[in-house]
Amino acid sequence: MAKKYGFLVNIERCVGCHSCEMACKNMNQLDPDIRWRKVYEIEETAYSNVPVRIYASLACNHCEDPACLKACPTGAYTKRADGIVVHDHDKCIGCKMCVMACPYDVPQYNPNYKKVEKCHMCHERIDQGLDPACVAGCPMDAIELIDMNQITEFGLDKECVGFPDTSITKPNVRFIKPRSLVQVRRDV
Amino acid sequence: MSELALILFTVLIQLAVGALVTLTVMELLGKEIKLKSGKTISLSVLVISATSLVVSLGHLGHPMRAYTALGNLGTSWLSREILVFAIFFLLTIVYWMQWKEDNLQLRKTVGIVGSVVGILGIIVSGLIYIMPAMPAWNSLTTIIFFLLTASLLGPVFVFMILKWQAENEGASIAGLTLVILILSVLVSLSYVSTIANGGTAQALTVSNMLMSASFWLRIIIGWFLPIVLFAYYVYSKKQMNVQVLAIAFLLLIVGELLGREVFYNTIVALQFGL
Repeated sequence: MAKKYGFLVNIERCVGCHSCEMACKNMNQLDPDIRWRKVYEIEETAYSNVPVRIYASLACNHCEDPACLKACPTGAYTKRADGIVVHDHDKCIGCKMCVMACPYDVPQYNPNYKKVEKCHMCHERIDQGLDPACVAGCPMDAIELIDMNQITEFGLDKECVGFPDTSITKPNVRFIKPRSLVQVRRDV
Repeated sequence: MSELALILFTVLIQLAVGALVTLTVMELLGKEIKLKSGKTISLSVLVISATSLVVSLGHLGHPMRAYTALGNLGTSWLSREILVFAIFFLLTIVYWMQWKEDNLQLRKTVGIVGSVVGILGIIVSGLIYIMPAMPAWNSLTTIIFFLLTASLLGPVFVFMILKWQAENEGASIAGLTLVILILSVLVSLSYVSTIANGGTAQALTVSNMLMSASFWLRIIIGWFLPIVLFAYYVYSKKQMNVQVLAIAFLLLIVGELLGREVFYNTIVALQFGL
């Protein structure tokens, strides 16, 4: 079966260090204000009754049904056979339709180029058998490149707290949620 | 003010469509319109459409490559909108030429085709913004707002020019416009109350609206003052002269521009955490 790439985000392991963001910026030489990958903070009590710091690192979800691709008037977006959604910088005219259409706030308008840009899963690295920069740069192994056709969904979640409705574009991302902690008070 | 290009483009093209439809309907209803007035109105429709299309390029990062935006007619509503409005613009040229040559039968036909294409263009325009990622836009109300703008501005614009050309004595636009104005208020009220009770992104859109100066100015300039003005003329059964019509048109177009500013700049997109 053909490959279909996606990201696995392990919320249990993520410590919110932003190394993935920096690895991505470094690899793709992004402008200061542009981040293709972003680390989001989730509400502390989202998964347990003990306040715990929780983070989710998200980039493009390379959706099954990409809203950006449908909305783009110039056909600048293509979905490769392996599922990676690639944005062609040369074809972009900066109309920002994809920025509006993406439910995950992924495509970003760069006022310097007057064009939009987004994560392309480091497909050049993948083509060489390497991991994307964010995956390689994470010190906690909290992001993984997965083949959606090979994974067993057991133990994986399709969404996490705060993640927008997945029925809109069917994102190719899976989450491992954090353990829920219980506070036990003992009277002395 | 961000999205200025889109605010001007959408309101102006909707005015042009509304004016073309009004003139066509008047002729179809057997109203005789003098050649000079017809030429002036059809030329203004042409100029307004051309201006709006040029202004719309201001929204693009790379306006010189706007033609490539026709490249995804298969799925992109923006591609489709550009195609439909380009055809509409060509039809406004043909329509104006029929007035110049005083070809009554042909200009009625071109007027009907232009009106249909124009209304279709407004609907397609609305469909661009109907997307789940923008919860407050994601309903048919978006299309209704655009159609209401066309039906508010178009007729008053045509009547203003007719009065200016000392024509159309006896006919009044006050009643019709008053009805559309009240409809506009009712649609907006039901829209705001509906989305205020929707999801987080929709509720935040409403709170942005309430904190936006344009929203309140629109209520005064675009609704309250014109409603008082038109209601007075309906009640007193007096004729609106050209100056009054010009003031009414000015109030309405400023109101619609403010309303469109609210539309574009208060929207809250779906995003992580909402």
